[in-house]
Amino acid sequence: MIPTLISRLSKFFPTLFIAFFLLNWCSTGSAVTTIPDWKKSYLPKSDAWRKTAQHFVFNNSTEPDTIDPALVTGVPESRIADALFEGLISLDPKTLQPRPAIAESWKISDDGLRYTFYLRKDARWSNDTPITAPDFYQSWKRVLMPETGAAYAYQLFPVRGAEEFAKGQLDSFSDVGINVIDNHTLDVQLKSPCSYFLNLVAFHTLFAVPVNIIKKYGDRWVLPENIVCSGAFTLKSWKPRQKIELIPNPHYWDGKVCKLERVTVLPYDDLDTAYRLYLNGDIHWMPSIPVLKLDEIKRHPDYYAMPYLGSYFYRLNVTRAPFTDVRVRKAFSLAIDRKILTEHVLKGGEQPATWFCPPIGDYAPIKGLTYNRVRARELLREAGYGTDLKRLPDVEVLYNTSEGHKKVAEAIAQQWKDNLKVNVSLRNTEWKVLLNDMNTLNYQISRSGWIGDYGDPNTFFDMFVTGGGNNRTGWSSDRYDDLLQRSQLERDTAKRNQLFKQMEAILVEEEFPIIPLYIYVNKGLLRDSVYGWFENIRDLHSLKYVWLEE
Amino acid sequence: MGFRTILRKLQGDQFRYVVIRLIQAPVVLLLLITLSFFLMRFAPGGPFMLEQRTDPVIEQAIRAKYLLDKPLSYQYWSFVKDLLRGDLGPSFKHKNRTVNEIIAATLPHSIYLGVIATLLAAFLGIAAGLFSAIRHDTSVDYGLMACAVIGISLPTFVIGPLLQLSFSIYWQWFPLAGYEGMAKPSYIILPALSLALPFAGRIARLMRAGMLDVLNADFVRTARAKGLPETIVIFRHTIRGGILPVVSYLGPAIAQLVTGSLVVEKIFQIPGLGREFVEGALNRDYTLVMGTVIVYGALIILFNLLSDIMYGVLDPRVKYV
Amino acid sequence: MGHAPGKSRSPFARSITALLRNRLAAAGLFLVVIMSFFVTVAPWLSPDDPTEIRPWLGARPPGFQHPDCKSENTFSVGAQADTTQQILEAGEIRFAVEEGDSVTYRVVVRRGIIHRIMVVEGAVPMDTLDLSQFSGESYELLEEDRIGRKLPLVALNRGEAPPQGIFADGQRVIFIRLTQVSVPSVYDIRIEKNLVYSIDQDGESIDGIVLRGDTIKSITTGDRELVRFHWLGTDELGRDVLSRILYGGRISMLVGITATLVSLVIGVCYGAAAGYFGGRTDRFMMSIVDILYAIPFMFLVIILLVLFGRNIIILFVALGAVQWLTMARIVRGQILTLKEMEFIDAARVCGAQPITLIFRHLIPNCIGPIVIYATLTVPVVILEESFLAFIGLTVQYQGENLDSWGALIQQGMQALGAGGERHWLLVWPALAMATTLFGFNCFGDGLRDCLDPKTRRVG
Repeated sequence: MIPTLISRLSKFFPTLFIAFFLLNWCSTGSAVTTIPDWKKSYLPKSDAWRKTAQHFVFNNSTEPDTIDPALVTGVPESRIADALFEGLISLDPKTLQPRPAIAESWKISDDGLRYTFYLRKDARWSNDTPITAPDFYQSWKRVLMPETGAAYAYQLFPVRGAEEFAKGQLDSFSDVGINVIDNHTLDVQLKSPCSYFLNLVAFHTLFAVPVNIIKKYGDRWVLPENIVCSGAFTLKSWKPRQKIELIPNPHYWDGKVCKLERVTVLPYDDLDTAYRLYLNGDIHWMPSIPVLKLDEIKRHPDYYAMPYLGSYFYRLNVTRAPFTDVRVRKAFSLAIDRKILTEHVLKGGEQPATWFCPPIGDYAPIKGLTYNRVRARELLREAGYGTDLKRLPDVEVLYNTSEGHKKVAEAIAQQWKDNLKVNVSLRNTEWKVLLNDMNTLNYQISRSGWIGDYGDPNTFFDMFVTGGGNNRTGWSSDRYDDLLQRSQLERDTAKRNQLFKQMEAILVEEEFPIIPLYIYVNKGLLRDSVYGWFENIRDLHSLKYVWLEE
Repeated sequence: MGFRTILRKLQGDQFRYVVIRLIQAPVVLLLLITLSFFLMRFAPGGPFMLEQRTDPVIEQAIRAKYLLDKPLSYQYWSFVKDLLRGDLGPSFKHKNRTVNEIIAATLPHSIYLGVIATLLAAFLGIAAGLFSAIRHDTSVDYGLMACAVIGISLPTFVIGPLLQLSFSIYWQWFPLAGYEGMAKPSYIILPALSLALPFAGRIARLMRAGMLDVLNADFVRTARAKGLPETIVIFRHTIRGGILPVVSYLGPAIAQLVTGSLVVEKIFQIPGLGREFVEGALNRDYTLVMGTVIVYGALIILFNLLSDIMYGVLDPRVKYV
Repeated sequence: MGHAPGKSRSPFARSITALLRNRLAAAGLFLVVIMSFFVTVAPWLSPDDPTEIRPWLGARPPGFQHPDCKSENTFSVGAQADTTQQILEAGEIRFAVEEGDSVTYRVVVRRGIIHRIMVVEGAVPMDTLDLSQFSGESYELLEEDRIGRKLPLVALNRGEAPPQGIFADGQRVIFIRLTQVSVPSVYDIRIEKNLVYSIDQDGESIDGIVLRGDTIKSITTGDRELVRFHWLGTDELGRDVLSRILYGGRISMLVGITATLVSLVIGVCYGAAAGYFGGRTDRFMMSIVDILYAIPFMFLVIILLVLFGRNIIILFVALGAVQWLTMARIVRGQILTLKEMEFIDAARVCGAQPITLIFRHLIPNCIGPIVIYATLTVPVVILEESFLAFIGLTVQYQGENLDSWGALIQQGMQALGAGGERHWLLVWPALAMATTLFGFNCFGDGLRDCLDPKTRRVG
């Protein structure tokens, strides 16, 4: 049905294309009408940029696993996927609010259950074929099919039937709440209201990918000779461990915004070397810097730091003594002077936090319980541990091998030793082993971090639902589960934030399945010739707005 | 020395020896493959573990794609069968590439680095050893040998950054890091040098010892007594004998060169095979690790064999057991 | 009997003389002895606990000194004081303390106008920073948290030119520290038998106080000042570099020597057995060695360590297992020649068992080459361990990282700075390691030249 629709419609496309081309051509003189005001404020005010070669180089710090947006899980990979592909919605480069992308407008039903997206008619793949609603239908279906192996398939789970389909409980995809109304209209039904659904639509897992190309080339479809892109750039070359080069997509609907003529993505994981290259003037942007050289780097005029939607914390295994006792958990949290940690150990301006979820939008965190070692010792005594009572068992902190985690763990262990008179040992393992140990609750205290997947507190709080895959503490609370469920049904932002605050209080003031330590700060180096690059809490920097000007 | 001469020299015992080594080679490789295969599979932590817990159904689908749901013996045999066809399978981590492609893309860079480093090491080492042997028991000899031991004693990862700090940051003669292939050889100088120096030190010592042995031999004394100029004595009569210890060292040296390049490739950001191996191991990328181990194992076996053959060709006295 | 006393020189004594005459070898022996001595007596020699962290200090150059105290020192009258042993024993002690809350801002100018203002903690961006609104004082904050010049209390606005007196000529980044006015206080504390007897704050008696290490400016008892001196400086967590090198050396040497012993045991037994039994057994055993020679063991060691944790025991065995092959070859060669000698026949005639023969008669007679090769193996193993530490596989014992020299060098290199500002973190560990390896190599070579000139080709 759908293929025939496409073939029938494709006959019209040449004419359509010419029509739109003419339309654009005619309107360049009065571009004011076509470019919305919000976007105009992000564009160059003069033509001075034309004097500079628009070749942008940044160090992506690692060789990407894949650049297939459906499979991408890491931040470095998503930087490339975001440049090559686009979804129905994109996020404002500065404020992160949803902006039209391939959908030029959308409608949300009053009950918040039905989203209708109206696709723009000039959206085209880099091979000059139109991007249509069936493309999204196919792309999303691909994400949900188990054999695709999309680890982030759960980003589509608010959609009715999506979760069941992904878990193999639903045989036919037609029962999933995704429907093609016509070639330019896509209708999505949710299983319950989801106030952050547009945020998810702007996430790379839900981007449009060329399913017919994928069928043809299999896993090799993302190689430069095969790839077909929907975003502002296309892939010119991909030399593993050497560099990836992007050039503008000539058929991109918003191509006139894009100023860069070439983007070179370096995969250098030795950040010291990359830093030396930066000082040499070979790199424009370093999103990660060698932390041990921070003292020096933060005195560089190009250094920037900004709050990040990420939280660094320790998980406590509540199924193992002594952390079965909430008083002990609380004592361990109270016995940490986080300021020592951020000021003297990390030194990167991290926000010492006695709360878990960083501020997002209107959500402001509660303050939690601050450092109080006297109270911490009292709590231990109440729990029955002390010099004249029974001895506190030795505890072990598990962290994944990294110089940074090690320094933090050493500093915290020292504080616990001093403040609680407890023997603390440190154990580090490889990342994959740590995950395994956390999943099987084979630890006492384990280093953890969480970066929000989307701009809503839910991404932090749904972790600790009873039995949740990311809970990993053995902790459960009916009250917490109930609050979480209520927050997911609540549509009023203020009321939702209240519910989130109550959940936060359970986590960091009453139950302590975790010990929050600090809120991440994003640190990097950006040359002063780079414009159109905006700070935001998710460290998203759409390359299409970036330009260079000496 | 022509190919025919080599063949002639390799007759009899020597020929048999080479054949035995050739038969041994696949056995060694199979042993290596089997060892590393089972080591990898019995390790804790799987290749598809992510910070975000993956849904069991999806994880199962991924595992099925890479045959990880099958019994170990099945996995092993299918791996060996694919290997015989020259197929090392898909990489677990780099989802869009096969291990063959990764090796094809990275191995040439490692070999390029290795060849330049070997040449540098051989040149520096032989020259220093020769000079030191000629000036035996003088301050020149002691100075050169002390330098050689220092070279052996300094790890590659100290030499590398020191070279970077001096030659590319302070004097700015060479690029700091990066790789541009053979088109811009200036990029390869510093990495090759930091890889070569420890080997140059060792070669210098071996060369000196070999030369001293030969310089005291009777036929050299005869040559000198005949009144031949010293340069001719050295270059025509002694080098061939003096270089023997160096030749027998070259085989094992290749193995060390390869491990050394893991570090150098990281420091200088060279897209070589060594880094793929280390990262593959850390990421539990089973197939990639197997692929790199096989390639490196084959290379080392090959070079040991070549070094043995060369030794036999150069040294008329050698009898293989 | 036949020789006059004083003229009698055993082969051993002659070798020693020859060794000492070889200048490089003598230097090597000297270095090995010195370094082994230092790392063996490390616990008594080391001025400091290598794991004690003083985060507020940061990386400081060699020769740095600071008041000797804990990160938090608790005193309350009538109770036991929680502080260092030295303070407890001092009796009467005076602390000069400067406390005060402070906020730090970072301001950047670009093309003559203020480009960014932010509160450092939490990286909160600001548009205006009005210093005159605060009651405290503002200073420029220099590297290593040193306080620089005093700054005028003026207002800074983003997008405007910075007011006079904030930025020095050519300066583009400034860290401004605003401190609440804090009067330095002096605490006089009397401690008797570990119990706090009295606490006076600026002459007034108080009940209890917690003094934080970062606020204490000086500690005096009588006219003696209690300071801790760091000969080789401190690392980023304020740990004493000298102590870390001494303890790191223990790890490196321990790994080097233990793994060598492991290789010695395996290699000697294997080689001796092959050599003694000879014939087909020998050929079979040696072809196994040939096969194993071709295996790139470092790769297996890496896989082993990555996958099964980096336990020091695994490391000993793994590195030892890599090294035993050459040892086996050498011992076999020696035994092959030795077993033809008359004294062996004699022993056999007397009814000695093969085991006795091997361990009583054969092995003691090839001790020379064994020692030489073992001496040369130690530096190789130390290098291999440091290589593993460099690629991130630090040795561990019960999950705790043991920072060997290799690990120290790797950390030092990361902390070095673009112009080598924190060079002491790299230079001293590297020097310690290079010296030791140099010593072992020279010594081993010297030994070889003196004792056994024939085995010169062993690579």
